Amino acid sequence: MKGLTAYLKQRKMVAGNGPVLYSRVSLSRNLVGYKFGLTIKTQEKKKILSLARAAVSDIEEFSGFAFFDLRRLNRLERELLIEGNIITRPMSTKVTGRGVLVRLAGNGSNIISSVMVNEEDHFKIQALKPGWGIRDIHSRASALEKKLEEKLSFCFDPDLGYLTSCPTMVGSGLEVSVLVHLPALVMSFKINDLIKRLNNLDCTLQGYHIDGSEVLGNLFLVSKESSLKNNDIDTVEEMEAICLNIIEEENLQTEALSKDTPVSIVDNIYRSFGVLKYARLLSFDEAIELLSMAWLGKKLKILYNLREFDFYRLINIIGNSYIKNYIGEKKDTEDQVDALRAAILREEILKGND
Amino acid sequence: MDTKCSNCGIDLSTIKKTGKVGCAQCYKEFSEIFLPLLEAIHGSIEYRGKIPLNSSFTYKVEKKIKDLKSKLDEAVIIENFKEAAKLRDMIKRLQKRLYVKSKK
Repeated sequence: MKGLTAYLKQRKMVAGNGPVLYSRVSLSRNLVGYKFGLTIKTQEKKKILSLARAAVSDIEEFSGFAFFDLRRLNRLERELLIEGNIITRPMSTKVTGRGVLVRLAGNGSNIISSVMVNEEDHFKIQALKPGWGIRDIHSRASALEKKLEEKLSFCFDPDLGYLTSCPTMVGSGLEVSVLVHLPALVMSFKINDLIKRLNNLDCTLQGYHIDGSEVLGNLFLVSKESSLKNNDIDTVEEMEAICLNIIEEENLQTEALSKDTPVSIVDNIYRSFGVLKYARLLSFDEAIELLSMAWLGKKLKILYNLREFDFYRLINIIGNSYIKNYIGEKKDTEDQVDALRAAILREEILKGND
Repeated sequence: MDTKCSNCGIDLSTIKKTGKVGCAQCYKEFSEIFLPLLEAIHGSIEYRGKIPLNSSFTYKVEKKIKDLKSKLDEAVIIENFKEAAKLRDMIKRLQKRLYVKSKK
């Protein structure tokens, strides 16, 4: 799996210091003449996979892309792709007829472009980059979509726009998401107001746990789907404005906290630091929670014996699959993975020789 | 209403339960259900984004313009000028998109 190894090396991507950890845009499309995800048969799925490969073999923009047939990947390799947001978990449980084309970041660009084949829709063209930058990734995804459309016919209706299996995505088939880290707002109990406001603006919020179930580490995935009355650019601009607003709020709250930090928060921060410094076993979930507090502690200038760190980068290198891949699958037990995670973090964030 | 889609065979209750359609044809066959639903979700049913580069879709859009034009004529004849103005705007928008596309 040469491609994947290269991809792993790339994953040490840096998001910068702000609350936005990554930005992601996806465009969903379906091929004319084939049924959609719910009713499609396996044979049709395989056909679509072949058509996709044939189409891109001819397109210059796709020359740097690696193709993975999900059936040919083992479980660890699929987990790595899930952790990297290249495929979704449902894709990994039923793999027949599913594949993904990926271009890993490179050539001076930190955008990861991919096309999922037979996820919910036939094609899900995605562009993702660490940190802030919705416009860039939207341009990238649109450019790829245009090129694909030169070779393939997508289901389209003049009134409804591009047809997707989910009626909510009909139109431009666009979804914009950002992962934001909001420790100040959460710890100050101001997060619910923000959530309400975002819901009123048609944004959905999920916790970050690869699957989106619970809130972890004060991380939130904020998503917006396209609507029929807006075109792509409107949605992108709206989302940009929303992000800037979120960033501003978090920064203001951090500022307010630094002037007057409740002792309960100080206590939480120091405890988190203590565990990070001395624990010998750390699960992924626990590590993320501790890192969020440590990050806040550094921002509020409460913790000094800590290196400046990039939260997004650390999240990526302490994933279960990332570590398992690193130590070799035969040797991994849960304890070994958790022990290595604790060691990695001590190495990464403790200043001096502790 | 126990109808099934003639193309993919999915029935309406499955669509309602899963929130997904079975194929492109579903949107046409269940349009009575979808049009008001989409209006509720999206606020309007008038796609304004980009249209495919594929020339067969150009043809579809041109046909749509023709249909709207004949509706416009009818509206004018029965002196429903409000409707006529609405149709005229829709025609203009479609024409603009075709023009933009052809310039590329």
